[in-house]
Amino acid sequence: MADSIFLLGLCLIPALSSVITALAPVRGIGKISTVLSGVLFVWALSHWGGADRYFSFPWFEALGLRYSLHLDSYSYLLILLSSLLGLLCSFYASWAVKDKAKAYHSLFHALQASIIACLLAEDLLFFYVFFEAMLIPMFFLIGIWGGKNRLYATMKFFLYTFAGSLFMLIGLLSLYVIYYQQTGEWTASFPVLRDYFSQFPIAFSTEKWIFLSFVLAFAIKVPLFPFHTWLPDAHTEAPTAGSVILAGILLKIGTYGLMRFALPLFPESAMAFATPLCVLSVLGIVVGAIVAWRQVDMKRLIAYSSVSHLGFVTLGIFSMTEIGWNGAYLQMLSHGITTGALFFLVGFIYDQRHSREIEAYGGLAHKAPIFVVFFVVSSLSSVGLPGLNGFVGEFLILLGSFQSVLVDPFWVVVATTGVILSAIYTLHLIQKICYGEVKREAVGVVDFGRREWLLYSPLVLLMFSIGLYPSWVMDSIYETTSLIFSMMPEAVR
Amino acid sequence: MTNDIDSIFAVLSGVAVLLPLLGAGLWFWLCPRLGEKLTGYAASSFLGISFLCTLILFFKVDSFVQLEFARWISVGPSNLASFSVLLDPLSLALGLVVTGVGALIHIYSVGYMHGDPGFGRFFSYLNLFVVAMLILIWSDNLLGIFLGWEGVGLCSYLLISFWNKDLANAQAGKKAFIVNRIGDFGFLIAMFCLYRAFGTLNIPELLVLVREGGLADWQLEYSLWACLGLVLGAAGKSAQIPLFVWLPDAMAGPTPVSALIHAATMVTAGVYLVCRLQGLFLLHPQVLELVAYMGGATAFFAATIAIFQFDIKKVLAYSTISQLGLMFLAVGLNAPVAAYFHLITHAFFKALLFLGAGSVIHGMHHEQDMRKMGGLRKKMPLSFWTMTIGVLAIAGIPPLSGFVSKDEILLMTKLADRPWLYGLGLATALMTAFYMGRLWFMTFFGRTRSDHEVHESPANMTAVLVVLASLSAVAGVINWPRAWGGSEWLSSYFGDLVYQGSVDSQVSWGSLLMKVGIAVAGLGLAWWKYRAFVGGDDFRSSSFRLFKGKYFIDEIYDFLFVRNLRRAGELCWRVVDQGMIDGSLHLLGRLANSVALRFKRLQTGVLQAYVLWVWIGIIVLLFGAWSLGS
Repeated sequence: MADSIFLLGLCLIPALSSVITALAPVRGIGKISTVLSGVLFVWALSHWGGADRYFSFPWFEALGLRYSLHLDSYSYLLILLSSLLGLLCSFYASWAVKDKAKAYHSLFHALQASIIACLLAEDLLFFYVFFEAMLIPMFFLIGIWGGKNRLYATMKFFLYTFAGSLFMLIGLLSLYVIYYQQTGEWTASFPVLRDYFSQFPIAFSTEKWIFLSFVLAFAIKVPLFPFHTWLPDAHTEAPTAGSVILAGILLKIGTYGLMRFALPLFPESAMAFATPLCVLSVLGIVVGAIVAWRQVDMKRLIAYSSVSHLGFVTLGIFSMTEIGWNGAYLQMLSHGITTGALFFLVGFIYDQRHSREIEAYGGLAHKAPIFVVFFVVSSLSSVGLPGLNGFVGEFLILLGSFQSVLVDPFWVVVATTGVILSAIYTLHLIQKICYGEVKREAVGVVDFGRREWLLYSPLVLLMFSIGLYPSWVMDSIYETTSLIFSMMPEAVR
Repeated sequence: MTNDIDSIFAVLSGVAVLLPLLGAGLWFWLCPRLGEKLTGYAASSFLGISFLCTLILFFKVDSFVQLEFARWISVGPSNLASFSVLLDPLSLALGLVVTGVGALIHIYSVGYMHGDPGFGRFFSYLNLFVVAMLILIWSDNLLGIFLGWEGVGLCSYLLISFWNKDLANAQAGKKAFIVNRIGDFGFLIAMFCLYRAFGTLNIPELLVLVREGGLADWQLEYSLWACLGLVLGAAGKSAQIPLFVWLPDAMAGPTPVSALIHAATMVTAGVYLVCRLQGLFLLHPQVLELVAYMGGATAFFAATIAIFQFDIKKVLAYSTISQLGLMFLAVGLNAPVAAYFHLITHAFFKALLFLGAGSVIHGMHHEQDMRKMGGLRKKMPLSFWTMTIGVLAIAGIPPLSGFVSKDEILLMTKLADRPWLYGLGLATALMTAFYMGRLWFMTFFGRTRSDHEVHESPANMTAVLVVLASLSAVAGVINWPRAWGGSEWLSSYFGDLVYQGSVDSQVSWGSLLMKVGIAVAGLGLAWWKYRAFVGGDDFRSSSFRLFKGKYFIDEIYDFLFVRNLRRAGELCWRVVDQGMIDGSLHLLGRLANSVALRFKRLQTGVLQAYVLWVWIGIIVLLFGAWSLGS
């Protein structure tokens, strides 16, 4: 009972928030929205340290479809991060978004609701539905509140991810039908399908196509090289909060889907395709990094750095080692915190000067020293400096994949050059905007006030706490990872 | 913590590390309230306490103590790294140097940084640096070392680009960080290999596994790659060929930083690392050989550049690279005690030389060009006399410390029977004496060549110079050769912690005389050429262009790596991303669009046409069903 109340609360609070913000008066909408996000965050936080929770409700019994939810550490930590970033985004938007504020907040909560529903879903069809549903509020958030080139970006984002998901739908339906053909029962429940197909595997010639259809959908979402070109456009054009939630959570649904569904369902295919997928991840790391270095737009630079960082995550996942998976999951959280912070910080400047051009700034260290402290710490976390959060995940991913039997250590060595390249583009950005003489756009920048302190310090605290004592999140990640691996075939373990 | 004495050690080492860490967090905020003097001396006293703690540990720790404070990175039951300390002669000796010299340089900085708007920030960074350095040398596992390793790199970056309004300084900081990251890349690979081969990153455990032997071929192969990775890491941090290019630029930072980080402590981390993991390296003598040649080549090569520099700090920077090369030479030839000995004496006399140069620069109102100095011995007597001791020490005049330690390295090279390396060592010694003499005469002798109102530095700076000068003079006693009636205390202190290749047997007066002769010759040559230096270019002939251009290494690297990487970035962005990937996506979009345009024509709105299409559809379906059925 407690389980169902908690889980339904997680889904319904943001959904209701969306309705409330749509109906509430315009005056004070920012405050109302922030309080509602706060309620969700506290609700989510109350579960901290708790055991797994389940909820299941029949929906269309004849077709075996149930509204079943499962909360374990993989879904929980992302939900917690999502609700934290959501709170900060609402807070930020309460002063930054003035145009059509009600619609903005309402759509934002709707986005939050679909994210959480997606992360909780245990029924594949429901997962699919919310996986697609997330696109709609995001489509409007970019399309209405975005930058100059927002229409192109939002269409590209929408069509690209949508097209990818359709492949997954085909794969998913084939799985559904194959199960029916073999057992005479309909179900889309993930644990049932996983247990059944681990005993009676599908022929590899068929399985590989289903696997690839899942991987394609998730790879576009992550995005894995070479499916990444929608991301820089979407990030650059999205409003600040949109970029934060996009980098912080939406991309992670892709890697989450790989870890939760694609690989546990099809371990044989995953092993067969490990090398090409790892190579694509490594290419993503390297190409993302060197392209990031050449960018003239701050948000585009950070967007490409996301491509590079998520290459690490997928490398950890596809190389199929427990250490690598733990690192990959931690890196998902870290990237959400760090890149979220970076997008907030760029937003802080952009909202003052309305320019994202790197060359236009300079000497911020003399105009806005507190901002620069936060910016440098966040950047160093992105570089993977030990002691900050980015290092732990990155290190474990590389250490894990180096031990993997599925991928040649050579590729891991190539991936490790990412630590050099990330230093190059990040320090380039710091130098250009923070150091040197105060340039034209930087002249008018005002430093942090009290609300900025409130907004940015939780993220920086998280960077240090994960970097210095990762166990407080790692221990629960480890439980889920080892559970998933215990169900994988012997060869993987 | 098993017993009381261990918990005392834990408290001492904890205080030694955490107190400066606290300081790093404080000074930045407190300086405006406390004022310069109080902030500076508080920061110095924090380090003083840190030094005292280390000193007690040094006297009380009996050979080996390993303490764990907290887990750091662990995956389930397997703990990869802890916050823990490994206290033994190797780490304690270096700990004393770091905190001791560190404290002195803090005191000096109070004078040097006087009036700087970033005063508090400076002391925060400096405290933080000492913390990172202590973590580096005291950690008992490679990940912990890596934490300190990157931490000192960060502080180095922050301090080089301290005066970041000038973009050149920011550029230099960035270069240092990136070049160091290339080394760190090697370090990371080494950790992956070692974990694969031995399943642990804990150094004592690792060394036990290595010592037990019986390693499989694949384990040996991975440990070979690990050693090579570590050498790359060490070359980055200790500015050896091919990664030395960042150190000369690092002189953009304030001079106390150059003394502490880029001469006395951080840059010796590579030497420390190889000594610490000597057991591992002994599995692969060919890698040690590589280290020896790398060191010898660096020593020689950097010395040839130092001769042609006019910036007083650049001379000292290349000299540091050269001296570090000598240490690597010793490490590579299995003479870690000699390397360590030189590391310690070098920390004293090079810190002294940098601080003396800093005092000169301070007195000359931030003039660093030696051509504009001259005749300063009368105006800055204390700086002159202390620096003289430093110059004589590094040049190798007995009985000053530099002579004893350098002599030991040269002796080891000779005993190891490497005539080439021995020759490189002797040539380096000659050039060292020459360029140091050049620096000395150009700065302190001859006519004054500037219109600056020169003044001697304040007492807190000169006092530090005096302390360091005395240390540089007498530090040789810590490993004074038995042959000359010494006790070789350092050797016996290390005991069998490290393996010494060839052991010094007896003193050869001939070779001793030769080495003194070399030092005197170098200084004499400098006296002959520079005693009455009048300014201008001392090596006018165009045949010196190669040396003056520092062999154009920066330009070559820029041409080979930086430009190509930039080009690759542009290529991947414009051609791959925008051209190929987005191009094909747009093509797909256009295709869909044009198909849609064609089919649009079917929507004519004429009912008869729709009925026709329905009929065609039915016929096709029936035909299909029939053909499938038959």
